[in-house]
Amino acid sequence: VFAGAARAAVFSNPEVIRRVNASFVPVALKAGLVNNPPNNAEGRLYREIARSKAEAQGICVINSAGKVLDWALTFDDDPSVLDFLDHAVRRFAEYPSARKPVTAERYSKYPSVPMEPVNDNGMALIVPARHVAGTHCPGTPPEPKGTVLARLFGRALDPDGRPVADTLRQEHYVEDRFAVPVAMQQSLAAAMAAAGVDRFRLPAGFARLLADHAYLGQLDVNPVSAPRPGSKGNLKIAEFWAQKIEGTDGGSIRIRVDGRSEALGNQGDGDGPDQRVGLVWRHEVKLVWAGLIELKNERISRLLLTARGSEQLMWTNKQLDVQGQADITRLLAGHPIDLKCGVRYGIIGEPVLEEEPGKAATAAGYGAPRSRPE
Amino acid sequence: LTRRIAWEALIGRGSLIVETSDMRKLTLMAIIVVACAGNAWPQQPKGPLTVKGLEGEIESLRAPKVAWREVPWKSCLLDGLRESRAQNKPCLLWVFIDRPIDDARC
Repeated sequence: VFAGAARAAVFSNPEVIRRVNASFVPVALKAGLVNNPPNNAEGRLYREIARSKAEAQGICVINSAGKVLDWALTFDDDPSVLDFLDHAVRRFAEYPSARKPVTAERYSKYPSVPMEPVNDNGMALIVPARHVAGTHCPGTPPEPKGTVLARLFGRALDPDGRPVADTLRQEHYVEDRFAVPVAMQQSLAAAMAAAGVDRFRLPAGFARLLADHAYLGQLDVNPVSAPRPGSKGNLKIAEFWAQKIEGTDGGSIRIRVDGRSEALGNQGDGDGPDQRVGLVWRHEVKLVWAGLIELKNERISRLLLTARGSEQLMWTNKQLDVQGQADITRLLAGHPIDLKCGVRYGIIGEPVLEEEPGKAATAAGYGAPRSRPE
Repeated sequence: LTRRIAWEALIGRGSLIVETSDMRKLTLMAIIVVACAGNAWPQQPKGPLTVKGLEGEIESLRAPKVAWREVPWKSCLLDGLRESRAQNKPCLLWVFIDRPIDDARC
């Protein structure tokens, strides 16, 4: 919830974007790394950030030595975000390095709800010039060569069947990516070979993988996998059929795919840990699919799929007053969702050519700009 | 009378009931059509699929310019700290719950 809420309410504000790009070096860190860092010099940098954290997630400003200047979890209002950034720039001017001890300021809500600050431990950290030899950046583990990296785009439709204009909230517009492992590609190739010219069912794992990513909303409301404790997912229908139709100039075999899927996930309708959390959601997705897959040497060389159908999503939190508040004030709680509409999805995938994170990120041509240490 | 009650139960009381064979068949067909429409699956466009056509359809779903893509987030802390020193700027960290790598959904 937090990441999606922060992306829409904080990092989509044009003035915030301008100031971040002008005055900061923006770094997105997976909380798993901060909370479970590697046991080396780079890991000690993550541990220092985690030493003052207020929650597993948040927005944090550090100086060039890796010392935390400020944490914020939410903000009083939109102008408070700009105040926070200005405040952090001023603190950086005073504490740019580890030469002077610096206290980590923390705010549950900036600026009205400060938390207990965390004093400097007096330790100067070594910032390694590069990752440990023979290892990859922990922020971007590589995909194995031959993995197909698929990008998904999903849109909610208005009553006239056109994509809704909003692209900030994930219940209206979603981008996702997922990997199709080599073993799954090989099972598809085996199924095709066994069928000859006849229609055949896509392997169940492949069908599930597709349905598992075609939904609107944040990660928590996945109607198939339902990742949150206490939530339930159910892939009720996943019928995907394929048939070899032709060869291609490049020596690939092209198969046509069609199918349908229906998933229903929910949380908060019974006993269990979900009752303490207060989350209540229900998500139903019903899609028909069509597309083409090209295979060469038992591997997918191109994946092109579209899906259309309907979606119904309700999400709220009974324990938090999430109604009528600005999104910026409740980044950890999210905003209520009540959606019922037509939907469309597109999936495009190509194989990762080298075992390298940068190429993996851009293999499908839509990778965000990335940078790697030299 | 029994038949009439059963018929009223099927199409709803207060409806205009004309007990002719043709009208009953017509009404029953309409009920079936309406009921089926409620559970009908959407349809994909008919006809052959082409690579070019699918690529165009998928690309049309992608929003070319979304606000949150305007911040060029780094994913490497070492890279960020190096640039922080070089440019004399603080690092702004967006720390979020770990998910599979490169997950654009959050």
